[in-house]
Amino acid sequence: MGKGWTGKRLHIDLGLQRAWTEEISPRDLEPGVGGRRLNGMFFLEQISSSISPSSPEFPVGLAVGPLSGTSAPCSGWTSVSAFSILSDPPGYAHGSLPGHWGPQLKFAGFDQCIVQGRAERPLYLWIDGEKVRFENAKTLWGKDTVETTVAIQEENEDRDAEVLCIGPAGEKGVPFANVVNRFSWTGDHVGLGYAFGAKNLKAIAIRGHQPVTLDQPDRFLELSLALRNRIDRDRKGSRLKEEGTLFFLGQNGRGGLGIKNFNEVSSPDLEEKWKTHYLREFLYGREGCFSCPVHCGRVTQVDRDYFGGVHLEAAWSLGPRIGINDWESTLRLYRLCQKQGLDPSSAGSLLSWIMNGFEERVLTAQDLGNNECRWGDVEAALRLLDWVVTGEEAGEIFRQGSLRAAQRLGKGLDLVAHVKGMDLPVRDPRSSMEYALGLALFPTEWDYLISMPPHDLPSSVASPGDGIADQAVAVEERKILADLTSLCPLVVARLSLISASDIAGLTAAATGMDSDAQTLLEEARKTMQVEKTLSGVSNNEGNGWGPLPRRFFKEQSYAAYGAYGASPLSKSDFEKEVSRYYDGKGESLPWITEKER
Amino acid sequence: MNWISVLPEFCTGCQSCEMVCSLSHEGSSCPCLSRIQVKKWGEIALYFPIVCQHCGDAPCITVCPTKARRRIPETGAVVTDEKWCVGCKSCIYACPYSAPVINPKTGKTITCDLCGGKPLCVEACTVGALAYTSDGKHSIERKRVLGQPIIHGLRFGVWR
Repeated sequence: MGKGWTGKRLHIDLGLQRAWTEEISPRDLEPGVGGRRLNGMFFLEQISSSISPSSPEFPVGLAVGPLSGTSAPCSGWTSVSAFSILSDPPGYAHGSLPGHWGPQLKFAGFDQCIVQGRAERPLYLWIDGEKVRFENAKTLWGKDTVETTVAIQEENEDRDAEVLCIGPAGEKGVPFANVVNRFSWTGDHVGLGYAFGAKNLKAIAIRGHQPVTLDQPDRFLELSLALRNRIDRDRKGSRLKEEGTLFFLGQNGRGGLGIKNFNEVSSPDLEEKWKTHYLREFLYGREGCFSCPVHCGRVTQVDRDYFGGVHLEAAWSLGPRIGINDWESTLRLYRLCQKQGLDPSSAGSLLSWIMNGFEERVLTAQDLGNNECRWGDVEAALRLLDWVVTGEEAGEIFRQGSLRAAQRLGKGLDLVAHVKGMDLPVRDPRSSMEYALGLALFPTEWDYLISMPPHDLPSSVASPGDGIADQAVAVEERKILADLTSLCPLVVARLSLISASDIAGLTAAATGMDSDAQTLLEEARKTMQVEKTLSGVSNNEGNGWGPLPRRFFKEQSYAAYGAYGASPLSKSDFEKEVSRYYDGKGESLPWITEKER
Repeated sequence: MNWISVLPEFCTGCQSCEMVCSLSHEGSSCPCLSRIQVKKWGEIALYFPIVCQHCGDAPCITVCPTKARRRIPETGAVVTDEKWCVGCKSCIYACPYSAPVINPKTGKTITCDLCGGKPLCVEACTVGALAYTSDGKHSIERKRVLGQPIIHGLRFGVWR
């Protein structure tokens, strides 16, 4: 196998309790990219197998690219793919997992790990190089994500092992349960926690000692150090380092984040005040993904409790989005989600729908298990999230997420903020047409900076001559390019601190393959097509796009909005842009109207 | 003489230092080949890079039975001469930090050589958890770091 790769796939069958190694076809690694593409190619073959995508036995794929496990800056990300029950209808979904798990997979000697089948009883996987042990997880079942990680590391006397685990939410089948690596780094928006739980898989712990060999080590070191210095000196990179993902709030004067389930919108002043409160009173330090020069992770201190993982999407979802403005309450809710293994953004989205429904008398106290749930009521929110995890009381309905709960109750459907069942990020879609189009064209995509104002995109990404949808697509292509090489999608796509040419240079030095920026971007486009095919095959529906809820096209619904230079979305303009994009690609657009949904 | 001082308060556990160390010395990437090792207590968000401090009166030099441990006069770095090292691990036991690392490829110990006076781990650390510094500077830097929570408390009325 060429340099930069291990050329091996670890295949694990939980039902048979068997693990084996497969050679990855050199053809699959030829373009010099892996990660997301490797998963896509694998699932394309798998989708025609006899296993139903909705079965718990359907595989989960975790893959890394050629830059994983190296000194390339921001190379700690892992591509995760699974059949996700979160989207409506359920289908193939991809997510990007930050942290440290992927590089350990590479050090263990693999580019990809496929976990299929369902264990008869709870277990966890201990992967030490090529040795795989199926360990009984009886004593871990019920433990939260922090306890689980420490217990596995202690049990195996190795605090350097990287653990990817679920909490009680995943065990008990909450669709929006997530997986957690090293306490702080979460794989959200794929329903991966649910998939692990359905497989009776508590965790995958991994440890490796196989060095990653590179084609031109000296050249690679030189390039990665130069790039690291450039990122560190960049103004946006520095701000991201200083304030984490809260960095774009306030100062730039744009506002536009949704408050109280998008019934109100944030002003720059409010954002600034909210951000400063956290930075002054709760920020303790920073955390970084593997080989990262930015360190956007925040370490939070509440009394004697120190924890990482707080980012904008999570905090705003469990804060202003549900009418909570004090950080103490937000952090209580966040810590609950973190320990239980719940996606905090989806949890916030669910709570905002419940609170909105209750305030508008669409939902009654009886619907909520004789519980009143008004804006900002943190005690009610904590109680509801407990029920969501355990499935007790009203939790049995609400754990399905806001869209499915609304469908089941037959109430509050027009208050659900989603695209194809996927909860909306915290930015109000009305704040920008480009952002709204991004949500509609790529509904399952999500990252920590998805709510960054599109106006802040560097000119190299958003070229003024393109259509609005094309700009959203350009960002998406770069995001995929990051996933193909295991780089950080925030730094590559949202901030453009690493260009396609930089990636091509690093990839060439790592693998010896002659790749340039255009070839890599072409691979990103191909991967997009593969995923579209997968999405269409797995849910029998069109080309993956989804309409925004009708409420966002209504006339201006809140007075404050106009003050920040944004106007409500025009439905006709929105549809025109989507049509233009698909016409330009020569694809027909199967319009799905609100009524049909 | 300068050495690599560690300010664990700033370490984020990103392991960039390990990656550049491994690549520059061994030509391949793996934390197991790095002369600096980040130890982790993630549940309390604490990370601590361990690297040879090139002690003035280095116990590893004293205990080494084959005299493989020696000091390079130009930089002051205490290193292992692989030609003489037998992998007995005495230096690891004697070191107050257990800083020497066993190279899995050779079975011999490896420690920081200060990259000949321009340590790459320090260059790669963008949060200032590592500094190539002298006795006096290190002492001043430690005082500044330890004083920060007090200054924050005085300014904002919040202790952290």
